[in-house]
Amino acid sequence: MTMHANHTSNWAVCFPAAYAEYLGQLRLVPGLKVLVQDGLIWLRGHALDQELGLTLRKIPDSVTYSVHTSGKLTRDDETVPSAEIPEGPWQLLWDWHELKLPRAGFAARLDQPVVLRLVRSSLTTPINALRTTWKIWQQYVISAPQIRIDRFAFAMSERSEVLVRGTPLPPLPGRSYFESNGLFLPVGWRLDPDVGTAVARQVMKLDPETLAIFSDEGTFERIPQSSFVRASRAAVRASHER
Amino acid sequence: MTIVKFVESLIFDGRVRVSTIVDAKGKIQSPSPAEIAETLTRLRRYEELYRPELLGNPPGLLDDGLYWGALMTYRACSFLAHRDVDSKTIVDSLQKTVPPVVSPAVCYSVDFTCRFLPDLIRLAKAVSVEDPLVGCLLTLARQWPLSSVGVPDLGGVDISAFVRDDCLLALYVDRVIASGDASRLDHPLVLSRVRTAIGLHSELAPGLAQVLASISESE
Repeated sequence: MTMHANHTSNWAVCFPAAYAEYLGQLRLVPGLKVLVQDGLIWLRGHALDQELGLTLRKIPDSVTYSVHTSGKLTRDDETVPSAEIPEGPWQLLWDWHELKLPRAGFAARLDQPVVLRLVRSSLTTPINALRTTWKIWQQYVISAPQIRIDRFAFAMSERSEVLVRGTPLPPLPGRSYFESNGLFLPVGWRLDPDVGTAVARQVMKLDPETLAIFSDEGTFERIPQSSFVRASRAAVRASHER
Repeated sequence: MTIVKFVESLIFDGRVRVSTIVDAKGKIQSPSPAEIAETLTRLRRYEELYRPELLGNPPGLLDDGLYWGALMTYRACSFLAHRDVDSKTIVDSLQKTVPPVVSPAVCYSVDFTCRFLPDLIRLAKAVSVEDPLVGCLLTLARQWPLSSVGVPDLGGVDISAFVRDDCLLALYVDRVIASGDASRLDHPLVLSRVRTAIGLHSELAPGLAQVLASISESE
């Protein structure tokens, strides 16, 4: 197809208003005028070089006309005028085409954050912590060989419960835990989703000096790291006296 | 450094400075009665801090054993640091007036300061294996087996003086395991206690566990 409009001084293009965004790339072309009428956009100008003509032809459903001095319009694929140019009012494309800033991008918001919870696990984990009563722990330590005691650290609660860390754990009655990165999970349970202990600590807002021990119900208690003391017969006896 | 300061540094720092205890005429200087009394007072005070670390109830302290052990350790350290003392003086001062080893209380009292004997022997051997001081210390080590666990090449030792005392037996077993001294497994009670302590966890004392396994195979 050839464009006869290349050889005329005035031209016009008509296309549906739905494709108005195509005018954006023509906004800086000098002298272009625009008219919106009956759901159509009219665009007219004087000079039509090859680059501008190529751009106009990219507009969907567009019809290009040669504009005669009488106002008659001849389609570029016809030789007889078939329409008249609308009267207007015409506006400079520069004025008509408003610029809008793109919407600012905001970080996504979590409307439904994933909640950490404990679920049953079939994975085998080492047991390296034990929660038992003070009486049981005391009886063990004051009668155990030093080589066993040396492996442990313990923290005592005001409820006379003791949390023992270390391996190999003594065969004492109590609740066994798997401790990793300061999180004590009851054996047979794991965190869901399995995000790893580092992420879990962030979610739980634990500072580096704080440990957390979970119950089977999924709740957890915070324990300061400083609560633990190296296990020794003297430490147990001193704790008993307090 | 007097014996009073010596025992304080020994117990709390494990690092001691000792002056010579031999006068210009070559005679051993003995602490004054006031120093002896002060030494005993301090040793008893320090033992109150040490006692809770032991399993069960340790025997009562005996002044004779307590002071004698401290004096021997003091003298041995001095001889180790000051090498110009003749061998007769060393032997006379370390091997005479040995208290009779008759009870757990004596063993425990002497051990309070003589428990550093293995370290002392190691240091003395590092200076000279042929040193008369080494011979004297090895004699002491045989006489006081509770205090000499871990000293190699002692041969058989007699632990009958304290083996029936639960606390001292446990202390002895703890030391055998900590030092890995398999030569002390020749007593059946000690062997049994060491086996129980290690149990299935051979990683706690790999060397001893290997010895125990070979003993089990031969039984």
